[in-house]
Amino acid sequence: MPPKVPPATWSAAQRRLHWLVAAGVVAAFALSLVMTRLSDDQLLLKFLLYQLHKTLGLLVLAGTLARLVLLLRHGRPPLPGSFTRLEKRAAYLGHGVLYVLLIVVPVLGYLTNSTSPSRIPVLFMLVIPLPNLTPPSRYWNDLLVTCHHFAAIALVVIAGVHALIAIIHQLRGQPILRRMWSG
Amino acid sequence: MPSMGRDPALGKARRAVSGPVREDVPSRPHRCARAKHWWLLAFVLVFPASLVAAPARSAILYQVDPSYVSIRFVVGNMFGVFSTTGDFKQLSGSILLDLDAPQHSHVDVTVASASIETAWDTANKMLLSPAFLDPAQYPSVHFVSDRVVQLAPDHVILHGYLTLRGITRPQELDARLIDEQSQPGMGPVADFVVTGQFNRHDFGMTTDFPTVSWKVSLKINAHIFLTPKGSNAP
Repeated sequence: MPPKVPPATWSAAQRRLHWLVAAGVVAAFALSLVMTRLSDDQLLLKFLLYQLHKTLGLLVLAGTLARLVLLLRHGRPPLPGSFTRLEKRAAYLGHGVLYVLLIVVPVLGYLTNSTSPSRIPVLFMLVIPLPNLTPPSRYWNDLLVTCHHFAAIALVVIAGVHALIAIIHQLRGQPILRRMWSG
Repeated sequence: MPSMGRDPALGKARRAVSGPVREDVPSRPHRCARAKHWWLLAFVLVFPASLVAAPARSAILYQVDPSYVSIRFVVGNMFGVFSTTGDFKQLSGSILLDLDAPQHSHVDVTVASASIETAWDTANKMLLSPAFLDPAQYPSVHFVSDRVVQLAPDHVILHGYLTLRGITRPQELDARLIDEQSQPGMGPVADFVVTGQFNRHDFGMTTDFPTVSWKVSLKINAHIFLTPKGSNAP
């Protein structure tokens, strides 16, 4: 449970994980743009990029779960007092949505892979095969591909807005970006 | 004639097992022969008798219904981290099994190369491309047995020729009769399971390694109905 008195700063672990997960999301998203556009003439490269994407997705999922554990144990520093009531509510809502998407998008991705008729395994770190959780199904695969796609776009858009707002607050003299960067 | 079954008349009438089985050899002498067709009756009685003079062999032949046959291949992908399985959906030809003298069995099967199907769209596209099966130029894949060597009562090696992309090469296939069991209403059934492998490079499919392994494994499964000896039931 979070401590009664909220900490003044983010812990070093919380800060590192925040940026690692952010980097994972950016990299996985960038990879998705490249890998889905590769033609079948480059099947080996395509395979490797997909596996890298899957690995990043699983790392994002693990990192997010770890962040939630740290949030529960360590708590979080309060939002600056200069935030309006509305800004505070919007911040909590936005962060909540981001946490949900950071879990939902990788899970949808994993299920997309599991239901794929091609039966290509997830090779974590390109070497560790992970099991398919479902039988193959073209119907569910098509549906999950769409869900994974739009959830990922939502995640990237909301994360982008989150970053933009952080920069704006920083420029306005509310150093929330800095405290996530250097404590 | 019944499409399958142990028919002593057929067994005696047919000495040679070569050629497709689906030719219209009557399964038993015509019983409708009337007196005015005495010559036909005589022919039917005499013709098999003329063959009995040949060295005796109780050839009991099974024609295998193509709808009970699956022809499947498996290739490894990406250095074997996963594999792709496909089926040829259209096949024709004959599988003649002589269970009493397996060395006289004969297999002659042609599959339509365009009928290949896997669950993976990318693989389907690849298989139908000129680098692989190239159905536009080579519409069929063919195997014909040449020599059958018996290893055990239910296990033979089929030596023959595989023609793929217009290239014919010797090919060995391992054939077993397994899972003999009684099926209600059908009598005894069994699976004739044929396995083998070839190197796709030998047949001119020289691209896409290691995405697709060189080794291609084949698994042909024919479900056959074994009618008890002496019975004329299909």
